[in-house]
Amino acid sequence: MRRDRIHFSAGVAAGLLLVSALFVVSRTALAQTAAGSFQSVSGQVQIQRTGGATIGAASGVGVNVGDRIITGANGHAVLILNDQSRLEVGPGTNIALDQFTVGGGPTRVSLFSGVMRSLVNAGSGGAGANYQVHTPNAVAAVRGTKFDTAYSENVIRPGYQGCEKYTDVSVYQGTVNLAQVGSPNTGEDVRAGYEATVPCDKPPTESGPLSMTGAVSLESAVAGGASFAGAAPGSSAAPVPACPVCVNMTTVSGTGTGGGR
Amino acid sequence: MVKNRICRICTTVVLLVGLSAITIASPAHAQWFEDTYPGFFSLQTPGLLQATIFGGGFVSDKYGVLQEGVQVEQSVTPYVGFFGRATGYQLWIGQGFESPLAPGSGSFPRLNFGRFQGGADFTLCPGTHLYVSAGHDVADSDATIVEGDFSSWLWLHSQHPINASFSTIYDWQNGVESSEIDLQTILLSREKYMILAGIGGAMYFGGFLSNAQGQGGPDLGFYYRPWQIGVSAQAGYGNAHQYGQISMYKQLSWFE
Repeated sequence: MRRDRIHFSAGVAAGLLLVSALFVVSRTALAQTAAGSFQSVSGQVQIQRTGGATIGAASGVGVNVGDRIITGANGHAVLILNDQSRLEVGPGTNIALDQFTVGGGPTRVSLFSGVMRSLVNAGSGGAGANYQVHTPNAVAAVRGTKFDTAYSENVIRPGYQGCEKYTDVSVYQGTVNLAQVGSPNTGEDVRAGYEATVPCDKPPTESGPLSMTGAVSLESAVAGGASFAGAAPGSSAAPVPACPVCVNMTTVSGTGTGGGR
Repeated sequence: MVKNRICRICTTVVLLVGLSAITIASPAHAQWFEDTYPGFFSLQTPGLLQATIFGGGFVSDKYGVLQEGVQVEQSVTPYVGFFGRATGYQLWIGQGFESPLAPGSGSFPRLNFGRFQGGADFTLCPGTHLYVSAGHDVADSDATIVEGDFSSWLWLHSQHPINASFSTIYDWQNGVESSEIDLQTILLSREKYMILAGIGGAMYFGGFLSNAQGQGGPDLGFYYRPWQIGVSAQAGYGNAHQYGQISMYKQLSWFE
């Protein structure tokens, strides 16, 4: 009887151990699901693995689900996911690849700071409509292919009444639905050629033409604020400074039709 | 007359400074000011250096003008920057038409001159700029000029923002005040380009002109984002009869 009990306890213990081992192994396997690899890296770029290890990124290095990618002030990296979607990570950026599924499943990237560009492969089983970028105050859900998402904190922009955190989305191809993080179903559709902003916990602004509303994009973060201000200096159209010469001198009082000096 | 103008300008500046002081001093308006112009007194970091290379031409029945130049602007605070502009002009004047630069000096088929200006750019609110500058001409023109350019984008968060711009130049050599007003909207915005359209015109008065002169017409613009290059064209009618003009510009910018 006592031997049976010992056998039973040992069996239960072994079973529990086996289940635990399986759980740990499966968790590790899940955490290390390969999602893609770096195509190019410049400047300081680091990968924080799920287990806590931090390694330097380089071309060809793999990226797993759960990895966090951090670029320095001069860092820049391009990632190719296994569904051929392309993520371009700008300087001073911190992202995490939370979820990735090949074949039309959900893909989710968290952007904690900085700016990233997504070129989503909507065809051939790519992430398509299930691709989302989450920031602390907004969700950008893709119905298109190419867009930038930027998240800025501790910055005050004129016209936003003291708000200090902003998510900007600039759309180049397709349409992106931009919403507050608390109400992802009440977003604003931003079409190709336009950009919009979620300031603090407010609803997204109406979209305006690219590089005009003050939204941060990959270009403006890298190239120094390449915003469109208008036409040539001193003029909205053409040669203003020379315009006195446009006057027909025959109509000028007293000067007639000219003559010698 | 020149003294009167200077007096008027000085009075306006004094009034503006006075109003600004009152606005800043009032505690009730302090918060409004802080919300509207956050970081007004702090330096812009990183600094921004911008350059614009531009060129263009104007042709009418009796005159032709080519211009080319460069403008460089350095940010100081988020709302104030300083800029310098150098422009070269080549004028072709039809036979029997007098030099517009120095009336009474006779008729010249061709005049060349350069203009060097320096001034400040004030960002009054997002999308709204006021440029104030002064400068002097060299070569065939010896004028001292003052210029003010105001440009404001309205309804930036919409599909078709509208730009209202106004430029005015006073030329001390011929005494003419030249002003241009323009209204444009963005017809189409795409990943790589924008198309703009509007109407614009110019007016000239004062100095040797007995009556105000002017011209105007529709204009069309195109901006190519990857190269940061824009082209704008206008055609119309006025005292110079039919005219056409085109301008091109290339924008460059660097963080410091």
